[in-house]
Amino acid sequence: MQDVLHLLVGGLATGAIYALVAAGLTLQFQMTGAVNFAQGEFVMAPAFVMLMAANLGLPVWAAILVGMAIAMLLLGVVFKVAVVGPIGRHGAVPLTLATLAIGLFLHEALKAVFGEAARPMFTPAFAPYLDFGGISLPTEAFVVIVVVAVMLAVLVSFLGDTRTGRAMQAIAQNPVAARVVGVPVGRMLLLAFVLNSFLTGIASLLIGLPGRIGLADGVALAVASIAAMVLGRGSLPGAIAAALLLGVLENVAAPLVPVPYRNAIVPLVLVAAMVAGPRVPVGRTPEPAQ
Amino acid sequence: MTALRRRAAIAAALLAFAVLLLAPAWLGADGLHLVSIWSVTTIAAIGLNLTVGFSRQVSLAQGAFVGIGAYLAAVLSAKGWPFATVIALAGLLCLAIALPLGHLCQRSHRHGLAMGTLGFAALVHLFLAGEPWPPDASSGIAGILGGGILDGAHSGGAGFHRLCVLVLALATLLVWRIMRSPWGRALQALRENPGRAETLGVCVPRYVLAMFAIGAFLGGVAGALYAPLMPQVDPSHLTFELSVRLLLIVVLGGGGYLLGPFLGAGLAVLCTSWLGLSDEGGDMVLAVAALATLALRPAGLVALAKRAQRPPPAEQAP
Repeated sequence: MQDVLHLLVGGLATGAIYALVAAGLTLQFQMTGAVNFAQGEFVMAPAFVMLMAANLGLPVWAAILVGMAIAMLLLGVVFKVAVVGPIGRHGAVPLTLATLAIGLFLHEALKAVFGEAARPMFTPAFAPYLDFGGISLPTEAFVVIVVVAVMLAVLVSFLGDTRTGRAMQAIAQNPVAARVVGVPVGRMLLLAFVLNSFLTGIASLLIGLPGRIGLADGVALAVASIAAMVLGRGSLPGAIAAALLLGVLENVAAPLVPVPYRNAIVPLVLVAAMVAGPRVPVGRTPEPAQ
Repeated sequence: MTALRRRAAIAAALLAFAVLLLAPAWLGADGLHLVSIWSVTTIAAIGLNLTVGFSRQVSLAQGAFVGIGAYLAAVLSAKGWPFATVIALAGLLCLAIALPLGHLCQRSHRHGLAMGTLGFAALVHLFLAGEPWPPDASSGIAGILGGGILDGAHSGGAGFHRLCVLVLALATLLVWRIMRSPWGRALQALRENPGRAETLGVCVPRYVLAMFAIGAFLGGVAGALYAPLMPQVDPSHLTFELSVRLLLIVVLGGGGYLLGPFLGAGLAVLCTSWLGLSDEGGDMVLAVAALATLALRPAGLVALAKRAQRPPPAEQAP
């Protein structure tokens, strides 16, 4: 009972981080039609900036604030203005290629500065286990699940219940029609990318909660969030549900798989999702007018 | 393109290959090794160009195919197979993998190939990283360094250099013939305007699949040639990052143009070798150059070298 609950809660925590990252990925995909293959590095970069700020002597809260601000500026505003704007007008394929270039750049830059070894992240000062009438469960998993649940609830209600959120949905469905009825498309895209960088910044804090953070996590996160988006058929709630399932599946299946191949579970699900997946198109398939 | 211009282009290409074949006469061992690496990178990039440049699809599997080819070459040449057979088998194995993979990835989504091949590349990486290298620890690397053509391959042997250039010439000829066939005309139509090509009866997924498979064949061949070039190569490094690097090489050189991969690979090799940059530094320069290309000049370096070869679509302009 204890073991099953442990696996389940751990899996939900892993899935919650996947969900946070996949939500941002899906948002970008809906707005631009391109898959952001740099999403994993978008999670890694803020974490390393926060570590760097802390190493310079800032208190932890200030390091986190600085990391978030820099992430939202560079991965949100600058990414939209310098990359999505000029390259996105050539179509979704060039933009996808550009995200691969950015992912490689960030990966190599982080590798050059910090090296490939996993590094200790901020260790929070709470009791390692919560006690529920005799059953003790890891605290960090609860922190992750609660934070992600709040963030995603706010995101979903923002997209569904506010005028700005509905304008973003209008762009996702038909950017030309949205522009015609007066939606400021450029500003909404900017908002979407800043939102995504905020989500990945939070994810980079949560992924460091167990203590260590390494560059290899970036690629794994990218694969997981793309798998969740494909399984969720390109819809936001679908991607969130798929990400939670994926996290639970990964944790439950892990003890059954030999150690070197444990990381193969998520890519295997991605390939299986492509092979056995729905034949209907996922999301809209925009192609710019020639 | 006029007939005269075409003949000039063919003559220039033949001359270039002749110069490359004769390079051992005036290049040192380091230079030869560099040119061999450039040739092999170009072969892989030519294959990827079929998918990215002509079919306008992103594939992240090319590095995995190179890794599979390198691994197979190491296993088979350790067992004493003739190297020509090894090259052919590496290509055919990748072709055989690419056909079902490409078919299954494409049917669910327009970006299916990009996302499915990402999962595939991750799996191949895990497999190659999990396997011991060299695969057959007893004979191991010594098998790759076997006599004959492989003699001194990793230190700039002239024989292996000629083999690389020869295979590069054959790959170029293959893609050039494809582009000039009726089949290639359909592909060019696909590159210029997918919607219109489809309306005119081009079965887009079938063409994309064929290009992906031929590209995978070239990737496997490149991998088999790559393994002997390295004194000690870990094929698990030849997967995801190499895929991205090859994609950026194609983008930089000019996707959809025959000459593009040659220029892109040349610049990438120069970045890491002659500028004396580390691997990380070379990749960062490559990424920034590819971003600038995508933003400012989507036709890539080929657009700058237009006088050397007119872009293929000009032939078809009404």
